[in-house]
Amino acid sequence: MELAIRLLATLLPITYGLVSVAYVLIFFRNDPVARKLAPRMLVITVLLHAAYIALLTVELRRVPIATSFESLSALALALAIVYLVQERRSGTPYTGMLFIPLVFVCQTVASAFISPTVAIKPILQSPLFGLHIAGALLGYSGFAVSAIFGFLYLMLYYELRAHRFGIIYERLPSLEVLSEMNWRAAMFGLGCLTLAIGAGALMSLKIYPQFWRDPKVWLSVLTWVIYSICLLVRLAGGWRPTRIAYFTIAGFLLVVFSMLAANRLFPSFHDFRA
Amino acid sequence: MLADPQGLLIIGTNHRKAPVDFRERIAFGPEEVEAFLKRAHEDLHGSDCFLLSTCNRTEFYTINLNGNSVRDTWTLLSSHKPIDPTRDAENFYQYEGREAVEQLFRVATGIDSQMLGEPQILQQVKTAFEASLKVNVAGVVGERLLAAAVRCGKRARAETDISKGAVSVALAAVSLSHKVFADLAPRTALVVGAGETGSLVAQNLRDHGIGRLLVANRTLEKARTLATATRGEPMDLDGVREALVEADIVITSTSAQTPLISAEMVRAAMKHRHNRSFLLVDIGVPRDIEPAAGSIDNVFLQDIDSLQGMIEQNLLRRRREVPRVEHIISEEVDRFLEWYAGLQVGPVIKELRTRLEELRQHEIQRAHLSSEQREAAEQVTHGLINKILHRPMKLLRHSTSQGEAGMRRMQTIREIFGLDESLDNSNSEKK
Repeated sequence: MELAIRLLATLLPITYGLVSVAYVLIFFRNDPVARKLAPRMLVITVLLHAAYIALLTVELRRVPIATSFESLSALALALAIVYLVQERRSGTPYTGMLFIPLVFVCQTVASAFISPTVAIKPILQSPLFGLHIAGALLGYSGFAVSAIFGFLYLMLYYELRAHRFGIIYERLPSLEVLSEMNWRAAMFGLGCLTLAIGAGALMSLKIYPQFWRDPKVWLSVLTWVIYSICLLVRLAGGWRPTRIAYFTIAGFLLVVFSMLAANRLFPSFHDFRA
Repeated sequence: MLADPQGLLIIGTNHRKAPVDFRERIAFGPEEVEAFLKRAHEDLHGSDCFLLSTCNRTEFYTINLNGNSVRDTWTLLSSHKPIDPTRDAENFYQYEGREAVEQLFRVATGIDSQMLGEPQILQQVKTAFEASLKVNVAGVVGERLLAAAVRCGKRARAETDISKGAVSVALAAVSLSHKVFADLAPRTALVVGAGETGSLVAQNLRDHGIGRLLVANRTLEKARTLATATRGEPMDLDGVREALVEADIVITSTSAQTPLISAEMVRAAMKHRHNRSFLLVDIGVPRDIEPAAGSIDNVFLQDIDSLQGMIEQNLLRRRREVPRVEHIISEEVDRFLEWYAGLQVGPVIKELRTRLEELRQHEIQRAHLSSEQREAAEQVTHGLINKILHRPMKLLRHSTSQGEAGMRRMQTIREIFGLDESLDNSNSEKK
């Protein structure tokens, strides 16, 4: 089983890399072969990825979302699934050019640094911990999707303002669609993050009474505040879509920082290794 | 090299070959087409016929199976239209065999059109195809050829950008609306100026499903006429300031010497619009909208120069797609010719024998027989197959002299014995 896990850990970045190339070809050349192959290749890769996570679960006897790199792999899978659903619903493959390379980067980093032998503290095997991690992962996926659509919105917005009608103008959906996806994904992420923070706080009251001193908690709350401001101001009709797009991109950068860098820069109890 | 379809001939003219007055003279109106096709089918002794007549081209296709000459086709055309085959020859092109197939496929993909990649031509080919089917003059080869042309046109549009992007000012203005708004049904558009361009824009907006259409003009009467034609609401220019609050899209094309819409008017409107996106398209020269309006957040102002830039870019992109379209044409021509080659008697007889022999061998191998039993089975099945094939072979050999009826017979035999399918397919169907 260990061999299969290693094999899949090596294979996944390669297949995601190939799928990324196919989506880039679709965006720039509308290549018919790539258009036919890319979605199929992505489905196969997602199935391989799900098999990888399942094998890790059996091998570690827990769901592999306890460390940063395990979470990153799960995030990559969630993003790939979200993209597949979005592609099926919208019928357009052009946004894959941004989604899939991001999935490729996440999985490449995860595959390079993941350590399947790490055990976690037994106390963290409670259902609340599962809810906390699942909420955080879904929330992060939502923020990632929102940031991508925010970025695409800004690209098209400035192309239109500059009277440039090149490939970006041709391939991207309307500003209204991009703005709506940017907004909806951010709100989905905010809902899930609220769940993650709530479950984490409830659990930590018993295990880590001083949890509010943890830098990752601060960063997560800051992320929550940013997205909540977005929600309130947009509902009050005060912000233009461009400002919301910028805010969601900033929010996602903070998410990446809190996911990857915070544990390394500051002492935190968010290191679940035993 | 695949065999050329014998007898396939096209005689035609288009915008490159003849001036408009000549094209007008020989064009067929929709009411003339069916009668002409029937007559052509009779005069050319039952040959397959197909006529494509649009504003830029008139092309007559025939698949001569019954010994007609090219001269017969010219005679037919000159008996219907004022054509002198000698004097007017330079206004026509004439292709035969593979070249004729290529020409039809080029037309269907839009790369032979005056406006490169225009989407209407494929529909026109389909309509012409339906006319031939309706009066029953398409024939086996003609039906297959036309279906292949339609498939080729669809592939070119789906697999390349040959028809992508607007290439007229009115369409470019509407395509911008689709880039800002997801759906035009809940949107309001204001068209300022009811001249020729304004009318085209208003009609295009209506065709693209705009929810509400306001038409403003200096002369209210003209605004009313256009509004009636496009199910819009007329107004005079005094109403424009107020309409800016309601409208999501404003397209102006007046000959006013000073801007009708100032940046201040747009700024004031944006305050009441709660930051909703605002698309302003100024097609007028001199401009109708103050350029400073374009610097207001969430306002997208485009003028005639930017629209022209868009059109040029789209045309350039279409031109770049031509080699890819030609590749598709080449594939589809080969595919058609491969099918055509299969209609020849020799290959059909050979394929039929091979197919039955394969089936025979397959069944004997499945039977697990002893060597004596196998020998007996070989003898019996050989004899059986020869008996089964005797009559179809006889009919096939006679097909060559029977023109269209012979072609139909060959096609029927191909279908009955599954000659266009692989052996695996036919076996799995049997199971």
